[in-house]
Amino acid sequence: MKKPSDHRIQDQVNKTLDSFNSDVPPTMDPWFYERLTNRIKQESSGADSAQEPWFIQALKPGMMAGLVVLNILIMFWTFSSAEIVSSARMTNIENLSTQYGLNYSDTYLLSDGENQ
Amino acid sequence: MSSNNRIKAENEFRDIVSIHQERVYSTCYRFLRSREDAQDISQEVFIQVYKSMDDFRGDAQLSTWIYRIAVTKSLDYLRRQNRKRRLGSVKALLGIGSDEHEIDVPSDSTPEGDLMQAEQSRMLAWAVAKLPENQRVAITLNNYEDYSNQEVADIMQTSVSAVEGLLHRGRKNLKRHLTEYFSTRVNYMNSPR
Repeated sequence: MKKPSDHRIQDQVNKTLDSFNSDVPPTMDPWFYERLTNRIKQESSGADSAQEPWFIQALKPGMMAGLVVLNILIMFWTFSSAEIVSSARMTNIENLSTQYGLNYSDTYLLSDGENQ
Repeated sequence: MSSNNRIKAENEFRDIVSIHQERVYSTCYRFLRSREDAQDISQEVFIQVYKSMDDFRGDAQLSTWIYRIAVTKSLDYLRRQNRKRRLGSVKALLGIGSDEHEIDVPSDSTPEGDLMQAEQSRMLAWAVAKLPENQRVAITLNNYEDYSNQEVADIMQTSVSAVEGLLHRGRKNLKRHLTEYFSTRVNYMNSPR
């Protein structure tokens, strides 16, 4: 047998389910169409201004290729100059070792183990 | 496009908006439960209609196509909101930013008259929001917006019998959620304090 509280719960559930039709959405903006057309105009003018002139579009791949070449040149120049500095340093150490009659371990310590 | 054709297309678009705007807005509102969001998504629906009018093949009814866009856009918006909410919860757990998690549970106050009615509507909306997505779509379109089963089937791109199944399971789940809610409330009220 059902308890009185079960009847009350069932009653509340049914009343709630009946409220589908009484739930009216709020009225819509009376200027909806005007706002909509403004938004469409804004979006299309935004799309127009975002479109770049043909020569910018044509130059883009060229600019990208130029940047890549420039990067490769800079890397090549940096490594080769580091090599030149390193070999000049070794010549100086060798000259110093000969001049002062330094042994192998002194030369090694001076050069930090480089080129040994 | 010549100016005559443009004027014709603009008039056609104005007619489409004026015929369907109320129902599109109402449908979006049922899913989103926010006036501003519903206005915003309704605008997006008609912008898509405007952009795709030339692509509309006419193999479905224009109204079905428009309402399908409205449902899809509303559900997409809800999914984005849910993702944001989940991210907000994770951030709150990690102590980053504020916890913006909204718990959309009806309040326990049950005032009389109109407020009672408003409370019932809120509870119903809460229970509908807890349904699985396809049941929620079918129930929302059929029960709130009075779309026929055939219309719901066309919008959801499924069969009428599948819609009937969704509606049956949806109503059963609604009853279950509401019964659970009211039972908890009755138990809470009867418990000694």
